Amino acid sequence: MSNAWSLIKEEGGIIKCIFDLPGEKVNKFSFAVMQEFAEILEELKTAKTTDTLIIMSAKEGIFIAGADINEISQIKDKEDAYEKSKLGQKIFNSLENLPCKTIAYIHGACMGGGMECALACDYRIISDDETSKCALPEVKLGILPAWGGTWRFSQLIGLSASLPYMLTGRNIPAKKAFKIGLCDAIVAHEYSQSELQRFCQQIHENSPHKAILKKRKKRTNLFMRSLERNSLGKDFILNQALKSTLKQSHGHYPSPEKIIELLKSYPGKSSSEAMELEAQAFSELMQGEVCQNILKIYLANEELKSHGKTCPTSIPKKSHMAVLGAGIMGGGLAWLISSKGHFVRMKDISQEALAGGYKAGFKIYSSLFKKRRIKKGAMSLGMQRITSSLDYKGFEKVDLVVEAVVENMDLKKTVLAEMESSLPQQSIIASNTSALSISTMAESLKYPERFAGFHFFNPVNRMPLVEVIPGKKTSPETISSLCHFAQSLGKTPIVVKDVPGFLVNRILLPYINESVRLVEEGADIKMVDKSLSDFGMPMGPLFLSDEVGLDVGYKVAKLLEKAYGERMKVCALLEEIHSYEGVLGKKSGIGFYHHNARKLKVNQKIEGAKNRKQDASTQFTSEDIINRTMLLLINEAALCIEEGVIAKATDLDLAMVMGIGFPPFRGGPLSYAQSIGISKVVEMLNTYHEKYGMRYKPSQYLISLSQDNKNFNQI
Amino acid sequence: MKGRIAIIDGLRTPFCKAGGILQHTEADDLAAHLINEMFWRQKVTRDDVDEVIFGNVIQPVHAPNIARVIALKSGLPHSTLAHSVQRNCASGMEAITTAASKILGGEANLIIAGGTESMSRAPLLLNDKMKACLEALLKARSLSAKIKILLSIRPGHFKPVIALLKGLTDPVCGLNMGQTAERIAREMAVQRDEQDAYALESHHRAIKAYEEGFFESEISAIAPTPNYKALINQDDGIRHDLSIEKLKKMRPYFDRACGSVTIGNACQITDGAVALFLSSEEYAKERNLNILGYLTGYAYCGLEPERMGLGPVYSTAKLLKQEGTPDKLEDYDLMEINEAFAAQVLACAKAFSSKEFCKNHLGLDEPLGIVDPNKLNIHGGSIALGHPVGATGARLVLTLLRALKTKGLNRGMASLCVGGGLGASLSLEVDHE
Ligand SMILES: NC(=O)c1ccc[n+]([C@@H]2O[C@H](COP(=O)([O-])OP(=O)(O)OC[C@H]3O[C@@H](n4cnc5c(N)ncnc54)[C@H](O)[C@@H]3O)[C@@H](O)[C@H]2O)c1
Repeated sequence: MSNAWSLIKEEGGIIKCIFDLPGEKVNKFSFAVMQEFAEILEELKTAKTTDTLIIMSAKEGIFIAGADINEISQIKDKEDAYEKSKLGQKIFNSLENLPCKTIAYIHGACMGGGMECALACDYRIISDDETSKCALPEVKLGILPAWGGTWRFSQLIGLSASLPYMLTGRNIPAKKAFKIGLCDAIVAHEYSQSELQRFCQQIHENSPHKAILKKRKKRTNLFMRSLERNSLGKDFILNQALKSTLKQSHGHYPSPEKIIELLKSYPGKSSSEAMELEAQAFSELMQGEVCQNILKIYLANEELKSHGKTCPTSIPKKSHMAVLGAGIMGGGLAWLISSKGHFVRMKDISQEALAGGYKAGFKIYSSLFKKRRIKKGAMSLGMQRITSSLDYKGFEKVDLVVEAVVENMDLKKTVLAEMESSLPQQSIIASNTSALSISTMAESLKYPERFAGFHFFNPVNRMPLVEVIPGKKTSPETISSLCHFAQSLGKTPIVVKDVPGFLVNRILLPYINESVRLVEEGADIKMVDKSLSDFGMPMGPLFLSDEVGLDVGYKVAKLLEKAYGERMKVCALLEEIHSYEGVLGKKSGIGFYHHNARKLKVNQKIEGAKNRKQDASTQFTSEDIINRTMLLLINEAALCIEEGVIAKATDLDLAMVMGIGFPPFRGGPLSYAQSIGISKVVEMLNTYHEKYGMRYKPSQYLISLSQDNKNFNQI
Repeated sequence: MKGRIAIIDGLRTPFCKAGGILQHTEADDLAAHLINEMFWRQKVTRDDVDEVIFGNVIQPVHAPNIARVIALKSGLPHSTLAHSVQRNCASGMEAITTAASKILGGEANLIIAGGTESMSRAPLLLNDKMKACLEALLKARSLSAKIKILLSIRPGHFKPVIALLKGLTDPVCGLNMGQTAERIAREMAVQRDEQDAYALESHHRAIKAYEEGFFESEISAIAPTPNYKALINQDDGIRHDLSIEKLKKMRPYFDRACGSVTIGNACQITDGAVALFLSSEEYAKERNLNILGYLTGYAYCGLEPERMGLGPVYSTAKLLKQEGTPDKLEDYDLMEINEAFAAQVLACAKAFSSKEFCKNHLGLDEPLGIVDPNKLNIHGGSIALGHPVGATGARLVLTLLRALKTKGLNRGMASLCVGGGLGASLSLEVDHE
């Protein structure tokens, strides 16, 4: 028994059913909670038709956050999934069939299973609070709403109105929920008691009740309604949706397609038939690899974030922070830190560089403003929190400084030593270096225990991952504070070992290098990129190199070559491109592609490069391209596990999904390797080893896994 | 005054020509930028501040109590008080003296005072004819009535009222500020040649001050909205290529026929802000704060609006009589008389030393004293640096204290003439170790 629900009977036949999950900040539907809910509904079967049941939440900012995702991830197999779906449907059906009238009073977030519960009520009333919103986000986890949600939602507001929300899982803010007819009233929470009472009276009187239902109809789009009424129109809507879905998902994500298929089958079905189909569709998705992969990544992320939250920290809530170097990263960090209410000081060596930092920070603020994610006032407060200086004036107030000067060990050492004398002893120093050794850098410091690597990715506003890197002398308190801080900035902190390139860049670089080598061997630039974006990468490796900056990438590649030798030898074409004047990628307008042209054009200079094979004797298939690059990536990932660069295989997978956008539906490089089969991977590596050289030499770790017939999660 | 008020430190933005590089930056943003910077440089924290008092003349429509907006944009706690003051050109000084009397009265310990002005952002207003039309349009019910009103609009309706020019014209005597300068130039017989020479010297002194790096630690570089393209750290009104010939060529602007005041020998219209941290002497010393200097007395005076330029003479006469301030003008090591117009500074200087003037207008037996040009406005003034009206008063205090400090001198007097017929004088001093 979970004791999550309580019933309060009030005058006028009002029965309040209050959801308050003990010991939790949010209300979730675990199976125990569902069971208890079912018992309460059983009890309510004796309610009178003149009674009104109001389902509401006692939590701050949350109505019902949805089903317990941990439990969903533990669903055993297809049958289990089907059962779980049927069970939920049954419970919500009995809610729907209660003799009394039922209202969901939505104050706070109403997500997934919570929204399905609300949909099973006769009426929904939403508060106009900022936290009040509805959503069916199941699709984001590779599944679909399976407690009657797809049926009831599409029935309530119509096919074309409900479809986009189900296909994207996006939020429906309170006003919108009222406007589209999902909710029957919108009220101020402060007045909700009297508003609910009035509403209860109305639904028990004939003509006011009719008026409510009529209004509901009116709010849904008339034209679309009529289009939906005939089957041709319906098909048209669904086919259009399918087209645009496929365009976005490249067919990699089965759940949106499944949802469309499901809705296609609804016409002419009774509600019980429809729900049967829904349960089946759900169980098929649950069984699939994609959904399992996404759930795994989701849960790993949640775990790292909540871990960050519990880390003790010495950094105050409203603190003084400094950023050394106001370049691309420095400016981005200034935005990030200032937007969370901290005061930021940028230090650089010229006025122009400092202005660049302001500009970079402001660019992010204004792009958020344009997307209405931030108000003008908040933007101007944020910008005001950023100050700048050419010297270390004010550093005696600093709680944390992030170094983001040019990637150069000697320079970084000099700058760190120079700065430390202006800092109080307890403040934390972090370096945003992409690949330089933290322990070596720490040699320049008097108090190296307060120093660590803190690697944000570019662009800071879009990349959710931060690598936290302890050096030899870094104290656990420093790491703990940084993890906490990263989490408070909305990022996922991941602690990795101080090896050249750390985790993400070390695994990424061989992949990029190999894609350039393919071009060197004669592969078509666009073809390389297309193969890998079809594979599911957010963009091709060559386009990515242009985005990052070819100079930046080259620098890291050289560093890794020095550290790892032959295995990461920078290919000749990359060396040649590096010698070109002004070919730096997107920032200079030209790299592998011309970026200023209206249509993306390949840079012919690279196509005709000295170091590129010019006869078209070798043909490359997409498969070649994917195998050549991915095998190196997988092998390097396995080496990282072997060397303990990161503790858990799932965390490595998560890091690659968040750090470079490795396709989440593949679950990260190690899950992907597993799906191919470890022994198959080793076998392919062996073949490639012979054919292409030692960089494909399978790691000892992979070999032993395949010999023991084990996979990554079993260690 | 009953005690000294510590002026702990201060900063200003660069002063930039109106309609120029700072034209999109709101006056409140200019000031908040300074305060946010000050908190990095000062030991005191945001929680220590009791009130923010700012002078501002134009009072932007989006921020009627601009001091409160400045306080919030500076990240001060919601509980910190804030109010704005307006004494026209002396608004920046008014903020300082209001703060001083609050601190002396025991109402506050630590106050941020200053002045800010975006002359660029002074609005254009609809003229009365247009306003009447629009009001009628709002009231009109039928379409035909609306069309009729719209058809009645003539080109003349679109002639805007320029708020800035309105503000620079005295509504009582009907003269604009330049005309009042012409008036006192005649009264004190200030020649055109003298004015031009004075103006040139103002630029030369400002240039020299920059060469010596004097302004470096007074100015906080600012990245202007809307695109933060560059970081500005210099006043942009100073003219390196100015010559006496060029000044002589300029035509009188306010009195074309017989006048002597030109754009070249008048102050520039500018955007800028100044902020100072003020506390009682004990408060600052208990906390071991580095104190820039002290305010030891102040006086305001009133006179005929059309003679407003002579205000400093009247207010200084009052100041010298007070307790805690020097008795003689010569006791001041340095002086600032705001350069609204070269004619007006020179007229004041003449009045200070004129037995006749001091007798007739101030009832004194002896003249107030000689103004030594080498002690007056030694780093240039508003003619070269610009005059963001609400801010200048505070700049004079900041610049003067810093000048005393760097030159190892002790006492200074900062004064200002005020449109509408007021004058203001502040007595300042600096301790040396
Ligand atoms: N750009 C990326 O994609 C990316 C991603 C992650 C990490 N990083 C790392 O972040 C750091 C900064 O990279 P960036 O791309 O922002 O570089 P950048 O070239 O844009 O900016 C570097 C800044 O450092 C300043 N600088 C140089 N010497 C300095 C000194 N002595 N004191 C203060 N500032 C000084 C420069 O003037 C410049 O403004 C590097 O370590 C880089 O490896 C970069």
